[in-house]
Amino acid sequence: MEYSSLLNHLLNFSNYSLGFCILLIIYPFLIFRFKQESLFESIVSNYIRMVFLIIVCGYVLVIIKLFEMIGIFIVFGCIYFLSLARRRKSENTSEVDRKKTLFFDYIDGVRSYKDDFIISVRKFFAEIKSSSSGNINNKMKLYTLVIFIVTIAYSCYLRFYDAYKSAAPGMSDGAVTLAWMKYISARELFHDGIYPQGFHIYLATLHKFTGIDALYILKYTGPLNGVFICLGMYFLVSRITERKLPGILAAFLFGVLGSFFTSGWERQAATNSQEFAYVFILPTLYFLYKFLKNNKKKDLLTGFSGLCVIGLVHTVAYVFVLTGAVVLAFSGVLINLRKYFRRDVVIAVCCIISGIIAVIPMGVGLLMGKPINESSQDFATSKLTDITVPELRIIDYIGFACIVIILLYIIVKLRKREEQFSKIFIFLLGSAAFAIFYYGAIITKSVVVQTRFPDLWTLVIPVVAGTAIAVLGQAINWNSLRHFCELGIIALLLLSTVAVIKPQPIVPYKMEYSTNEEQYLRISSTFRPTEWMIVSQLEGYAVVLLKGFHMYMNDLVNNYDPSKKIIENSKTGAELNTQDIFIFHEKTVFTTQFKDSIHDYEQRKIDNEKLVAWIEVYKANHQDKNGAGYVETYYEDENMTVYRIHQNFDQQENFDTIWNSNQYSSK
Amino acid sequence: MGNKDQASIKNNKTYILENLTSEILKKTVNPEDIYEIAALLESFGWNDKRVSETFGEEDVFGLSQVIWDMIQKKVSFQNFTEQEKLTGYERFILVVKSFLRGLLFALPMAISVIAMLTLRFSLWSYEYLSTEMATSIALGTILSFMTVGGFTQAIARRGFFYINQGFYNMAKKITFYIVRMGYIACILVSITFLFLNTFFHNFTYKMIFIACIYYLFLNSNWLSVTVMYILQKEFTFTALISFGIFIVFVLFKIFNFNIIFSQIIALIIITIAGLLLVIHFFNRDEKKYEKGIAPKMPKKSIMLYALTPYFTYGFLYFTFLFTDRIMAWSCNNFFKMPYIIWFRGDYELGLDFALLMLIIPMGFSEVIVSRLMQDIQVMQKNSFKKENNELNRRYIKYYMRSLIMITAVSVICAVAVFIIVKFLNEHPQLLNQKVYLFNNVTYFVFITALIAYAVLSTALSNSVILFSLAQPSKVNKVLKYSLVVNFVLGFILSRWIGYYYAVFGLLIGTIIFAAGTCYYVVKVLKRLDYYIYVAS
Repeated sequence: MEYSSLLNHLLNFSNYSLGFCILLIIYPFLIFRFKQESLFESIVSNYIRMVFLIIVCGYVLVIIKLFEMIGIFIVFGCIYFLSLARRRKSENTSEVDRKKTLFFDYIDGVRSYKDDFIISVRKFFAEIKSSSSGNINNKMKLYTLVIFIVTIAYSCYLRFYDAYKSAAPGMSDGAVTLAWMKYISARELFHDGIYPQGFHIYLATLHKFTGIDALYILKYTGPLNGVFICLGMYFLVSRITERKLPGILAAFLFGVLGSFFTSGWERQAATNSQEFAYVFILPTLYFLYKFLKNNKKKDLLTGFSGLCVIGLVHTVAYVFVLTGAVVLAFSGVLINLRKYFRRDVVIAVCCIISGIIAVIPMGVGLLMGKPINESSQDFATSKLTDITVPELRIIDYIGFACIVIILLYIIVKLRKREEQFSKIFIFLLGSAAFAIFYYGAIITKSVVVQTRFPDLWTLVIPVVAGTAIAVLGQAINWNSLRHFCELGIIALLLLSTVAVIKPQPIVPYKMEYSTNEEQYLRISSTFRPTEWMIVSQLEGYAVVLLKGFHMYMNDLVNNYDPSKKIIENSKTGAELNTQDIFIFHEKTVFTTQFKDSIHDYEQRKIDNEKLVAWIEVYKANHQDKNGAGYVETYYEDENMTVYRIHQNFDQQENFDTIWNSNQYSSK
Repeated sequence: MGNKDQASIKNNKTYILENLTSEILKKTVNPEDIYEIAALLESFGWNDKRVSETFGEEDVFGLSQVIWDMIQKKVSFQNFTEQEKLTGYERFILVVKSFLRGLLFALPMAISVIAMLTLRFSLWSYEYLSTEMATSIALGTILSFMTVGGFTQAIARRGFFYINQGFYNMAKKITFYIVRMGYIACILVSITFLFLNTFFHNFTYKMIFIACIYYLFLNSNWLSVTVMYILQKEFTFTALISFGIFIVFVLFKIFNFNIIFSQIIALIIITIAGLLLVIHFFNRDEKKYEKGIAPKMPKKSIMLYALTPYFTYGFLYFTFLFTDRIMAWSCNNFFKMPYIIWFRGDYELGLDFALLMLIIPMGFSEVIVSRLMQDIQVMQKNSFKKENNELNRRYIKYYMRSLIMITAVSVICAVAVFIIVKFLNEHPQLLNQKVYLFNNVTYFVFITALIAYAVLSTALSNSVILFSLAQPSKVNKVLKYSLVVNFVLGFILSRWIGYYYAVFGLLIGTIIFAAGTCYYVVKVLKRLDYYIYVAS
């Protein structure tokens, strides 16, 4: 099946969605007792907690070498039964008896389960009908819903386009993320040095629940993270302002118009741990804010889980969320010191504990004798030689103007400080983000601060914009008019964006032809895992890992003798004992648009030329079409050719494998 | 009223009273108190007014007190039951009979093993299968045992219950009902299995198809075996298995069909034949032995409630037996496995040969446990209440004696099987093999499994005792813990040390199973009268 076909994505994405729902929506509902105010809020809260649980379990299971489906089932099963036992304790005994009686009534035919089922289905649909008819009758609500769906759908289109069209991982980090995810599956921690593995554990766990190729997990998760960031913005703004339209505006700004103000827009369609950590920043701040306001344990637990997740996934994002938490605590102090001091202290303790939790894997890594990941260390410690003040763009001015609007509103309503808590928080957050964006690099002279810290401002701009719109809307006393105006602004923005700006789908740069991955998918779905090998360039390694075997082209052409019956290493004498070997020859060597690429493309050209000669010699020595080792062309297009060598092993060898009795071996 | 009339009324009153007392004693041999008598009197239609008119007592309770006093005066003593004295020869025949019955159950297994060693194939196995097919068939087989285990226990429990009372019609009805449920469960499991695989892509469609085919037909066969077992037709099933192997031989060796195809055809034929035979046997026995009355079937809820512990036991037991295999076959430490479960022949071979040691202890277990239960019954009848403590001590002594005997037989069998298998390995030409059958892993698994199965035979004897005393929930409780230990330990050891260490899960699990059931048997025997009272 062609990679970019609708059916292929329909099948794989439905698997992905089902696995995602089981792991991150249904299972959390079974184990977490606390229910939030709305279903959406419960889903977000459960998602945050579940990701924290997945990462912690993942780390533990990988360290003790038990990370696999059975290990995960044991842990999740134990958690489920513990939660069930706890729930049973609190459950009313008469309710238990009622359920038992009902069951036995069904068995004896005293009651008809068919009738009961039909009644409950009818009741369910009647409830939906009655609740939705109320909504649909309200035209404003319907329009709001339509605009929300259009916004999210457009955001999805922009982000998922590349995942639909191209099988090659996006950006230089794509293959690394894929490899690290597979190392986690192979229970290997910090293979390339110490680096937060939370995201890779999440990917590896999700992979186990979806049953699709890891490549699809990589391709789908990145864009989904981008969409989740948009939803996070909607979530925070709509709840803080208690209005949906400002939330939609925030999601729209980031989801559709993000290319105008985000520094790494293409990262939205690629799969990186940083973007995954961003998903949690705004919802975490919301739950911490909610805790500060209402002093409820369930909100604190979710907020704390969010802090931990971010700490375990990406350090820069963790600094962002800490900044937000500090701003939040300070807002509380400003509003009512006596009331919020104790809650501020609790939040501070949570931040400290989450920091400790985030550092524990690093400590474990050091104890295991692993070094810190070299490139991350270099990046984190590098200093700027040429410090420049960031050039302000229109969007920065808009953001700044929004902060001013919020400030003015706060000043006007200063007497009702308690009611302005959320506005004060957003105002301070916006100001802090802008200050870091503008002055951060000047003060710290750090490359990380200059290149990554503006992201906080990027994340905050839509939030302040949404809040400013809500604040302006407050000026209009008539509810319906206010709603109409907000709806008009967003609809106008949406239409003008589609008609005039026409945002184009995000297509991240690649490191190889999409054909490589497409052929890999074809091979892996046709041939039995572990019984084939791909010979290609470096990028092929991550894709093939844990499915088949991989050999660098350079290794094949320089070290393996094509004249031997079974391909043999000239130096060690070791034979290649895989049934099928696929050699990927690039007629035109792929060159990336990534300016910092470290690959030696000249060497790749030489290797490919050598490969042509190698194949010729091999063909000359393996001409029997029915014999073992005959080479055939498996795939060919204008850029590349895939050769297949089939080595046929006999029944005796199969017998040796099955009974593992080395005495039978013919070798 | 003259004296004569008064005497006549008094005589009449006494007559009615005596009749009433004997009616009550018919209903309950030993009434608990006057309230039970009062309740019975009311159920006979006696009320305060009638009692007052007839006997001059104030109310029903007054009459109950009178009858209670009469019953207390009438306490009768039964003679001690003479223990059946058997001659040495009779006892020998009895032992041999029980032993053979226990042994017969293992006959189909023995035939299969012989077929494998001589023909290199059996009804559902073949030495030269590809690993892919071996995995599929193993999955189908394991799943079939796990699914059908509960149903076979339920059939055995309920079927025997009615057959022993001579209600063949009832036995047939209930057995076929459970068999039907078994088939439905099998189909549902197959569908679930297919659905999960469509979602998770764990195996190829060919593998799943083969697994499901074997699963369905093997299930059907296990159900037929159980029915034949309760009808005491063990030889028929052994003949059926042999016939199945013969069909495979004809199709595979003479007509050169594919082995999988041959086995599937053979399974289909013996499945149908098995079902037809079961119907035939039931109909015949029904005509021959049916008591002639047809009581109503009990309510499904009652049946379900009564059978659930036995069903649970069947499921847990077979799951326990195969857990270590699953742990070993799913261990992917060195990236060699194409799918999540991959058949490992050396591990399987060790377990298969070790399993042979269970044949004789199972036969002995049948003899020893039935003897123990007879002894307990006789002791119960031939003792006074004041001798309770002494009696309990004697039960435990008898039990310990039985335990030692079973353990001794198991150990002897384990050693014998080890010596025989070692000999065969050292002289492979006897089995038409050129080289050794076992490698180091197989020996490791074989020896550990021998110990585990020896312990298991003790645990199974204990379970039979607890079942006889109507205490299945205690067995299930221990089995649940044993299963968890087997699962977790097998999982951890196989991943941390090597896949074949999963067998230690089985070993430790069986030790817990044996120790736990021992504990409960002693606990029950210490208060046997109480447990028998509760069970009744």
